[in-house]
Parts: sequence; structure tokens; C-alpha cells
Amino acid sequence: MRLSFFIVWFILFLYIPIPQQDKYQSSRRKMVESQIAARGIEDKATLKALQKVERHRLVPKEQESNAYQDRPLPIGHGQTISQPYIVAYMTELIRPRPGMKVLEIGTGSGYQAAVLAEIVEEVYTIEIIEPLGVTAKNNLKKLGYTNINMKIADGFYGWEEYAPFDAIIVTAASEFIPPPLIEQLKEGGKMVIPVGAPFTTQQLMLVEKKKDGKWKTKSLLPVRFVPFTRN
Amino acid sequence: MERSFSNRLLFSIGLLSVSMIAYQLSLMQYLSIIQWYHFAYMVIAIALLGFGGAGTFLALFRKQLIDKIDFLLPVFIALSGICMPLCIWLSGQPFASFDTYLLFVEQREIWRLLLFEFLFFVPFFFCALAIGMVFIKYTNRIGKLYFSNLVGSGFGGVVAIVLFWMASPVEIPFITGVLAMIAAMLVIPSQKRNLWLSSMIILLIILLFFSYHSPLSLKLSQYKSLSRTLDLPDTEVETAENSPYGWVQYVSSPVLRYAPGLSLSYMGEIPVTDAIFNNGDWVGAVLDSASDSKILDYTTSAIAMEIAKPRKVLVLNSGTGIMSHYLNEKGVGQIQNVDPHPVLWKLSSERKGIENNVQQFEQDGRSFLSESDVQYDLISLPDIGAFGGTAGLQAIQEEYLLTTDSFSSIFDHLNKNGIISVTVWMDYPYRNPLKITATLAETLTEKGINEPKQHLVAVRSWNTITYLLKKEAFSEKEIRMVREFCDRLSFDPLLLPGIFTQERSNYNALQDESLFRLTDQLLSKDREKLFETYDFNIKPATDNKPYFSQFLKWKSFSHLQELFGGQSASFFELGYLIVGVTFLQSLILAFILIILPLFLLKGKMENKTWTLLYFSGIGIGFMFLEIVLIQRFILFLGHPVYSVAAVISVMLLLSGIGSWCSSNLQPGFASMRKILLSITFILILYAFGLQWVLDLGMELGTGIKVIVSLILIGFPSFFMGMPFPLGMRYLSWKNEEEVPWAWGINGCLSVVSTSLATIIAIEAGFSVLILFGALAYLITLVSCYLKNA
Repeated sequence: MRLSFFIVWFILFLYIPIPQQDKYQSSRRKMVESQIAARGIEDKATLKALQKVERHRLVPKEQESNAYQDRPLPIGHGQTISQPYIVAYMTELIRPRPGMKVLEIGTGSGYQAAVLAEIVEEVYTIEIIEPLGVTAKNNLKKLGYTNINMKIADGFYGWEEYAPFDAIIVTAASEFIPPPLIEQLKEGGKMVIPVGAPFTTQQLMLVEKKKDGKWKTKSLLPVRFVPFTRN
Repeated sequence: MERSFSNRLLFSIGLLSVSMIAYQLSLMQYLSIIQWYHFAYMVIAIALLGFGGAGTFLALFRKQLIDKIDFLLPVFIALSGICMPLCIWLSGQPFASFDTYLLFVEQREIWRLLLFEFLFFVPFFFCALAIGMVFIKYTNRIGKLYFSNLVGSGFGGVVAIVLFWMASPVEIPFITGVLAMIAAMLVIPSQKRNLWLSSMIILLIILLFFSYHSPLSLKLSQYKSLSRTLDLPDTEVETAENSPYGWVQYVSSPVLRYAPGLSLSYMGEIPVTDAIFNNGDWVGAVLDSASDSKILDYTTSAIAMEIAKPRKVLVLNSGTGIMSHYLNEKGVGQIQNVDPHPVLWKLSSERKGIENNVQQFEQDGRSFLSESDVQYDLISLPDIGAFGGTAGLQAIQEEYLLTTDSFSSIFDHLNKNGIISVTVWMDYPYRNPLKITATLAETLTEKGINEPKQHLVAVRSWNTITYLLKKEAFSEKEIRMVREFCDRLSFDPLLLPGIFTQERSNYNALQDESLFRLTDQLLSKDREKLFETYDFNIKPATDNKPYFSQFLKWKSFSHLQELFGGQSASFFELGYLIVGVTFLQSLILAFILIILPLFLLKGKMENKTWTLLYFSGIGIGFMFLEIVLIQRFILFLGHPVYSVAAVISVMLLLSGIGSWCSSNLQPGFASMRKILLSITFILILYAFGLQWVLDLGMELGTGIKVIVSLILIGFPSFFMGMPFPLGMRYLSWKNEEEVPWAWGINGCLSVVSTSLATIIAIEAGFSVLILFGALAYLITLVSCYLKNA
């Protein structure tokens, strides 16, 4: 009797869902402290979001242990997940607030979308490469995000049904900025685009659509923010 | 030795050499397709150390190997042939698949790289083992055997070019394998002849079958632009064509668009395009209709057509012809396109056709300019760099169109009011824009123009800058038109006579505005100082150092790592770094291979200092001259493919003849000294006079150019074929034990000197490289004097 009781308990123990322990919590905290906040990211909402999003669950299995390192990681199909600092910086640049509607072109791993989803009302994200899009969609679903709307399509056309957007983040930069994206940006809205070959230090470009419908671009310095010339 | 066997042996060595060189060149293409040229360069450098490895192996097991030469010779030759395709197949398996881009990102890639290199080492090792055994066994006939080896190698270059036209990159390794198998059949032993013959025939049939139905496939790196494009929906390769110019693929896609640096003011449609790739790298877009080129009206490259109404235009390296479609749409009366790549033009023009006012010249831009005396209103150059940077992958690519000598020649082809137009992709840290500014400034200074700022205009969008250089100073009207153009399309002037600081960033601001200051400094008398102090090499390229895209200064690398992080800094200049890694790797391996027999055969080495100096010197000297001649003749003959084919074939053929003739010379120091002195003298003469002679001959007709090439390449080569057989004969007479070691040293140093030559050429130029070649022969000469004393 005692033995059967023990066996029943043991079986129940195996089957009762126990919240999976996040073994990377301390790595994430260190990442935010040493890579993000220490380098000048001040926006509290952004820092909080990065502290919360489980990046290791959005990278390929073999990269899990590298998820909180200060570098881009390969995610297949010639694409990378940007280094955490770049994601933080891009997020801070658009000044995210609750109630905002943000469009992301190039879902990739889904990390940027997840960070945005922690802060803003709705995130719309488009991925053109189907296998990447499917993986990201599944991963984001597992992480429980309900305010991320995703589709697999050509990002060139944006997402007209939900336009205009308060901000647009183009994570997969191209040689030109598609005119539909400019149109779908609200007046006073901001668009951020990273520029750089895979694994290089990416440079960011900010496009601001002014109230009069005109716009201005600004190329920002890459990660380390020190003028590199000796002069 | 029986006469018929002797002839068969000569023919077998020749055929094996043909197959090995053809395989080496096809392997170069295969690796350039699946990865990048630099990677191919690195892997082949290590693979060629198979020659050094074979020398060491022979030195250690000389007696056992030579005793069984009848049996082992056909086996090694056959193994070499089988391994040619087999190693390619193995390298494509998941356990070995490697990616250059991940080398600095994931540690396990280093092990995969080593495995990759080892795989390709194997066929070269067996080939060299076979040749080395023959050289050692029949040293008394070394002159003729070396002749066969060299002539076969020279002919192999020609065979490779023919194969590139006729077969795909995955078929060629089987064809070269077949050639090696035939070479093995020529030397099968007389015992159990039928068994040997039937086994060889079976293997031959298998290889022949796979030549037609290759089981190999091209698995491109996921970071190649072709791979990334093919990931797009409904995108596919429509047609592919191989040639010595590369493996060209025509790709159609419903989502590809072309509008480089498009103005954000543009709100219309962007046309969908097809695209052409060469060896898996992006070459250019192919427009669906010529009118689609009007999109260029909204890019910085439209500035030339905005301020001028040219009637006669030259488009250099016209690629897929977008610029000429655009010019045609703008009503230009006469357009001349120049591009050396025949397949590229064929594939793009098949789709769009050619207008009557467009003439196509299938030629290198520089040689076209040297042969033409036409003056143009506008000369357009291809875009420089790539969106987001090129990660330095073009660093060791010679770009003769972007040297100061080239710009000087282009300037001379301008009409009085003629304009040069060149567009550069923005990069960061700033490199390409600064180098092109420096190049234009130097060109104007050389032409005696005191105020270069009056002759230069540059217009900047968020990701491109178009530079205009005008022969006459820009007029007030033109300056006004540039400002209007910028205002209309939200671009900013970077260079403009009378420019105001604030108008440089009206629409496109830069957080790091040093671009403005550095650009101004390059146009002042202070630019030499900037060349010294800037972290990157922005000194203009010259014909002597034609590496426009090489920006790395080794001394600044640690500083860059501090600023951008070790990993990121590596990706600024990946190409040149890989050359450095190749040199170090091959140097270490060569050192091990050379030193090993010294320890294991300590007592038997009587002439080690002389052997080391003599065979190192001739290995280095030969390769240095070969590399310089290939480079120098690219401009003279008008195309890299012609140059490589002519130099390799003529050099090896004439060296082979020299080797044959050396059989009549007495194997002693007197002969060696005379020959080495002659070579040193010729090389010194070439260091100072070759470029001058080639410049004089640039305007000659093709027939005379061919004769001049034969003489200039063949003359030193004839003498350079002699020292190796003379040295081998001398050594076999003095101490036979050292012959394989000498063969290994020669092989190792030939490989090490290839990457060393690239580094010297980049850092000091081709003239200095020939002088180093002369120095290598001088050391060899001195070693003979020392030994004699």
C-alpha cells in the first residue's frame, strides 16, 4: 500500500506541469547591466523589456548558450539575430510607449518584435523568408505574446490595413527605403534601419517624418560611439 | 631504362601535370563559388603544401618507396585522380561543411577549416609523391622529366580554360580525374598486367560516367548573395553558364527590385527586376524594360545628366547595362559600353536587346582606353563598394580601373567640357568615399589643376555619393543646378564650389561629421599627412599597387579592435586578414615539413645549408616573377583570363625547354652561377623596365602584342627552368639522401611565397616584388659561392 502510494505520487510528480525554470535569468540581468545600461541606454521601458524577453528561446538550439553574449548570432538563411545592444538602441530610438502601434519589417528570430511587444500596444511584423517566419511565429507563440501580429510576405508593401504606424523598424535593410513604408509612417513618426554586412558593427539610420510631410535622415554612429579617427 | 617505358613515363608525368593544374584551377573556381575567392586562395595554398608534404614523406621513406616504384607509381597517380572528385564530395558532407563568415564567430569552424584543408591536401600529396619518386629514381634524366612536368603544367592551364567553357564546375573534377587515370595506365607494371589494366579501366569508366552525370552539387554559403536571393519566394535560377570568367547564373524573382540610394521623395512604383550573379556573387539587376531605368532619375547617379546634355558617352564595366539603358532613355545620341565579361552581356542583352545607338565592346576598360582616341562628353564608371560594406572581401582584387593611372587616362579621353561620373556606396568607418576623393584629387593635381575644388562635385543621399570630375571648372549655372537637384530630391552636396558647411547635411545628417573635414583635407595640400594618420589606407591605388579596396593598415588593427570589438573589426577587412592567416598557416606547416627530415635523418644531411638556401631561393624567385607577370600582363593583354593563360603557359613551356637544355650543361657550380647571375640580372632589369616597355606597347596591334608577350615572358622563363634540374643533379651526385628533401623545400617555399607575394604587392607594389624575386635568386647565387669556397 505504502509502495503503491509512493508510485502514484512519483507518477503525478512527473506529469504535473512545473513552470520551467529560466536558468538564463542571471545571464540576462548581467547582459542588461553590462552591455545595455552601461553603454548609455536609459529608457526604463526598454531596459525592462530586455530584462524580460527570453532571448535564448528565440535563437537556434546550438546558439542557446551564446544568447546573452554581446554579438550577433547566426539564425540560418544568411540572417543574424542582432546583438542585444543594437536591439535596445533601435527600440530606444523610436521612444516606445504603451498605446503605440509599431511595424517591423524582417521578423528574423522574432527577438525585436518580442522586445517591442513588452512595451507597445500592438506589433505588426513581416518576414519574407518562410522558414524563418514559421520558426519565429512558433517561438513567439510559445513565449505567450498575443499582441504580435505576424505575416509571411514581402515587406516592401508594409501592412496597409493597419497603417499608419507610430514607428517602423526595418531589421532587414535594403538598398532603398520602399515608398509604401514612408507613406505608412505617421507624421512625426520614426523609422530605424540598421546598415552593415553580417557580423559587422552595424550602423543605424533614423528617418523622421516631419509634421509637414517632409522627412530627414540621420546616420548614427555604430556601437562603440567613439570617433574612430586618430586626428 | 627501356626506351618505350621512358617515353611512356615522360608522357605520364606530363599528363598527370596537365590534370593537376586543370584540377587546381577548377578547384579554385569551385571554392570561389561555394565560398569566396579568398577562401579558395587559402585552401589551395595549404593543399599545394601536398608537394612539400610529399617531399618530406619521400625524404623519410625514400628507400622503401623507390624499391617499390613499379607498383607504387601507378597506384599514387590513380589515387590522385580518384581523390580529385572524392575530396570535393567529402568536403560537402555535413561533418565537413565550413563557412568563412563563421570563422571569426564560432570556434568549431576552425576545426572544420583544418579538415577542409586536409581533404584538399590529399590529391596534391599523391600527385607530388608520384612525380617526386620519378625525379628521385631517374635523377640522371631530370632535365627531360622536369621538362615534361613543366610543359604538362603549362598545358594544364590551357586545358582548364577549355574545360571552363565546356563543362560545369561539378563535372570538371571528374574529367581531370580521368586524365590522371590515363596517366596511371601508362606506367602500369609488366607483372600482372591484365589485372592492373582491368582495374584501371573499371575506375576509368566510373569516372567517365560521373563526368556526364556528376553526383556533386554546389552548396553555397548561406551568406553568399545568391543563397540569400534564392531564399526569397518564387525566386529561381533560370539559366547558368560556365566560362573562364566565372559561373554566371541568371535569376528571376517577383520580389527583387533595383533602386540604389533612392530618394525618399520618390513615391512611385519601384520596378521588379531579374538579376545576374557570378560565382554566387551579385553582379547586377536586369531590367524588365528599358523604361524601368528611369528610376535612376531619383538617385544621386542622375546628377551628371541633370547638369549636362552629353551626346557621346562611354560606360566602363557596363555590367548588365542599366546605365546605358538609362542614358538611352535620356536621349544620349551615342553610347559605348565596355565590359570584359562576354557571358554577362550576352545574358542581359538577350532579354532587353540593344538599341542602335549603343555599341558594345567586349574588352577590359583600361585596354579599351589605351587603344581608343575618341573623346567623350561623359565617362561613367561602375559603382564602388556595396550596400552596408563589403566586409573587405575585395581587398586582394586588382582593380585597374580605379587607379590614378586609370583616372589620368580617362581624363585624357574627356572633351573640353567632359565629365567623369562615379558613384560610391556609403560605408562606416569612412573608406570608399575618402579613397575616391583622394584619387580624384591626385588626378587633378597630376593634370596641373591648382584648384581641384572648382572641378569636383559630389552629391550624397543616405547611402550613396556620386562624384563628378569636370575637365573645366564647374560654371555658376551648373552649381545652381546641383543645388536645385539636391533640394528636389532631398540630397545634400558634399563637394561643390563655394559650398556652405550647413548645406552639407540639410536632409541627411551624419552623427560623425568627420567625413566633411576629411574630404576637405584630401583636397588640400595636407592630404599626405592624412594618408599617414588615418586608421585605414586611403592612399589612392596605382597600377603598381592596384588594390583600391584594400584599406587595412596592420598597425591600426589593434586600435580598430579597441574601438569596434575584435570580432567586428575582423569583418572590416576580411579579405586581407585571410591572406595574412594563409601566410602564417603555410609558413608554420612549411617549417614543420622542412625541419622534420632534419631531425629524423640528422646524420645523412651533408649539404643542408646549401640545399635549403638554393631550393628555397629558386622556389620563391620563380613564384614572385610569375605573380608579377600575371598582374602586369592583365593590362597589356586586356583581360585577367588571357594574362593568366599566357603567363602560366608560356612561362612553364619555356622553363620546360630551359630544363631540357640544362641536360647539356655540366652539373656543377660554374653552370649554376652563370645561370643564376643571368636570372638576377634579368629580374633587376624587369623591376625597372618592364612597366615602361609594356606602357610603350599598349597601343600596338594584337598580333604584335602577342609576340612581345612571348618574348617578355619567355626570356626569363627559359633560364629559370634550369636551376632546379641542375641543383637536383648536383645533389644526387653529392648525396642522394637529400634529393627528396630538396624537392620538398622547393614545393613548400613555392606555396609560402604565393601569399607572401600578395602581401608584398599590396604593401610595396609589383616593382618591389620583382626586386625581392631577384634577391631570392641572388641568395641562391651566394649559396653556390659559399658552398664552393
